[in-house]
Amino acid sequence: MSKILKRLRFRRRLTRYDEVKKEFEKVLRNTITMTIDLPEGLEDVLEEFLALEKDEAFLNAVKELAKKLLETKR
Amino acid sequence: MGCRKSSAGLEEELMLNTIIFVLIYLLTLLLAATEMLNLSVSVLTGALLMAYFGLSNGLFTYQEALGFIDMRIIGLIIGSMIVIGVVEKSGLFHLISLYAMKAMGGDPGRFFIASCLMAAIISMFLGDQASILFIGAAVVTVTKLFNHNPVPYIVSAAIMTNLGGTSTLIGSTSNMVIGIHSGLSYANFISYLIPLEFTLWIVITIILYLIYKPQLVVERRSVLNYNPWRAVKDRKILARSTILLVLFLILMMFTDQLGTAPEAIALGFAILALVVGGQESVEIFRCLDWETIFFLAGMLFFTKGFERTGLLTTLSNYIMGIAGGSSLKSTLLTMWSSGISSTVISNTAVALVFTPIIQGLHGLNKSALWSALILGTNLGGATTPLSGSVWILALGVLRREGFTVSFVDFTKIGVITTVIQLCIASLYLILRFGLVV
Repeated sequence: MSKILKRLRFRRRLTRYDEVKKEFEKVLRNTITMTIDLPEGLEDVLEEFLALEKDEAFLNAVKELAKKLLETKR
Repeated sequence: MGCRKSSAGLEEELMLNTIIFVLIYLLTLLLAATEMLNLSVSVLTGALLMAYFGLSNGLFTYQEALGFIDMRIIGLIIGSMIVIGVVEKSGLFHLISLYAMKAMGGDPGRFFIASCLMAAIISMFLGDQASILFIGAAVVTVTKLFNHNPVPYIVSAAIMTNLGGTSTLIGSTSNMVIGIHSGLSYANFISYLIPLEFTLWIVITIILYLIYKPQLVVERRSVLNYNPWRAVKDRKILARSTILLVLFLILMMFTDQLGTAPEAIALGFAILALVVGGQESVEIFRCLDWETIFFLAGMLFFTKGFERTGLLTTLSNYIMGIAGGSSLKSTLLTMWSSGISSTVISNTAVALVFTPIIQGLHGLNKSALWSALILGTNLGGATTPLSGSVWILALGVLRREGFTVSFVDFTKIGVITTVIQLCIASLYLILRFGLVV
């Protein structure tokens, strides 16, 4: 079965699946996506900055910040 | 005597051309099956070889060959793809799906039925491949949140996606091919096939539900709290796209009364959609399914080449011989043979091969024969993972999510549902067209 799948080159089409899934996840899981630019003067730590995207501690800190801000807006 | 000799020589030449063309066809299948070349490139390579031998052997002239690719079919496909592409980008299908999922709440049984029906409805507009990816993404997202097994939902969605576009002219590529060749209008498709399609939706959904019921016994979760309108970026664009789609479908319904061809409406609305749809035209053009368009162009050339050899006329006569002039026999023979062929070959290719054969049949109920071909080519398309891209994509989606389903398990469900669909369709054709012996 895996050989058939590999042979029929449908991987390319699955990128469309990933795109649509992201759109659904955004609505169903109530998430937001944002882009953060590398702060000026920190070019020497670019690698560390890029690694933040998957850094659990950083993501939790952002979540906490969002929570605090939203609670003040209640 | 001289005349007889030249006639025999001509027959010999025609036979030689037929053998060459059959060999080219087999080579094309081999290239596609072994994936030495992409499917559409394999077909285009075959068409190029056919053009070379056909022109060299004087089977057709260059001027004749230029007309082999029916631009009406290409126009209908590209026009419909653009209109539906603009509507999809507006978020209309997302909105409908999200509302349907919200209405079904956290009950797995109800969600299963909703996903089956959603797959069928969406594939009436979107192509089969786009539909299964769309429904797959929606279903996987929800099942993950509910911690359900996505396999029953995806397998069922694949079957329902294949079934969905059966009764509309723009529901599948094979329908567009048959529609243009047969002259059947959008209204004809609906009047001939909608009652059967809705019946099949209900019957197949019930069967799939019964098959998968034991796997749907999971804890009921609370209704998800989300706003479906978040899927819509611009409500004005959504409104414009919805009006455009409704008008497009209405005009398609009345092509006979308007005296307009469906491809003219599709292309006209495509331009209108690009102007008022509020989407980037470059993005819409990028999203067109060029593989299907080029595959179809190559197959159209192929079929016309075969027509010139007389092979398809011989097949028509053979079918007439078996059917013995009976509309009942020829209709059932057309449906079952095209249905079985579609389980292993692309249904568009089957439609292209069968259309000239049906055109060559005389004194039979043509409406019944065209309906039989539409049903055969559509219903046979989700029997095994080899039947078409819907199954392959469904399997691909499951693999992407870390689930594996065996070839046998898939095929078992596919064969059961296809045989049931073809049996019900046989009965329907007999009653709908009065084909009683």
